[in-house]
Amino acid sequence: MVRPPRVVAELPSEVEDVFEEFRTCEMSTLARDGTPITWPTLPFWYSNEKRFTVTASIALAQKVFNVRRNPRVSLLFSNPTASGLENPPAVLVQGDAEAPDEIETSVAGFEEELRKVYPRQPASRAYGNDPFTRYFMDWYFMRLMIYVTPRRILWWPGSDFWREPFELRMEHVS
Amino acid sequence: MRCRPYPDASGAEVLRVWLPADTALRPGPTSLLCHRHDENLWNLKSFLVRGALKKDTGGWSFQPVRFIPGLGIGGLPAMIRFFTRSRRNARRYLERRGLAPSYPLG
Repeated sequence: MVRPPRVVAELPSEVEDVFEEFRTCEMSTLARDGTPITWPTLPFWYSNEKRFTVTASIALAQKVFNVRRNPRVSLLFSNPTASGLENPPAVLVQGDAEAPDEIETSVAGFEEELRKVYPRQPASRAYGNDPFTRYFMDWYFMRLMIYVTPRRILWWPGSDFWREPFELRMEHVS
Repeated sequence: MRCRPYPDASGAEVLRVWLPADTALRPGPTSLLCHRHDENLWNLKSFLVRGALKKDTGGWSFQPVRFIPGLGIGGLPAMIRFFTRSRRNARRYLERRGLAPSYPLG
C-alpha cells in the first residue's frame, strides 16, 4: 500500500536547520541518457530567496552541462556528519536549476559563504594561500554557479526512510 | 534515496537494495554514490557506480556497470591523474570559449 506523504504548508525550522548545518548534500543531475548522476556537493541555502547555490569548478563541470541540458535536479541531505544536529530529518529537495555560462574568479560577493566554509573545512585554507598553490590550483577557483529553485521538499523525521515523509510544495509557500 | 546495498545471496554480481515497498523507484539506468567526510569536512572519499536498477521476485537489485572514482580513491597515482586531468579540462573549457587562463585572486 502506498503511504501518501503528509502535506504541509510551511517549511519547518528543523528542515532549514538541515539546509544550514549539513556540510554536504548529494546532488543529482541527469546525464544525456537520462541516468541520474549523483555527487556530493557543498550547498548554500538562502532562506529569504528560498533557493540554493552550488558551485562547480570549470574543470569538473559535468553537472553544469547536465543542468544546461535538463534543469531537473535533486539535493538529498542524508549525511549529518559534523552538523551538530541531534537526530535530524533526511531531506530531499527536487527542483529546477540554472547554470549561467559565466565563470566566477573573484570572491567578491561570496565572502559570507567563505566565512562559513573555512571554519567547517580548515584544510581548504591551504589552497590559494600562496602563489604556488594558486598557480597549480587555478582551475579549482574558476567556478560556475548553479542556482537551484526547489519545487518540492520531502523530509523523513529522524532520517527514517521507513516512515512516511512530510511534503511541501513550494508554490504554496509565500 | 539513502540506502545500504548488500551483496546478493546467490553470489551474482548484483547488489540488493532493501527499501520500503512504496518507495518511488523505477527500473532503469541509475547510479549509486558512496561518500564520506570527517568532522572537519576532510578525508573526503567518494565514488560512483553507474548501473541498472531492476525489480524481481527478490525485490530491488542494482546491476553495476561502471565504477567512477571520486576524491580519495586510488591513492597518489589517482590524485596525480585527477590534478592533471582537471587542469586539462579547465584549459579546454576556456579555449572553447576563446578565453585565456586567469589566476583568480580577486
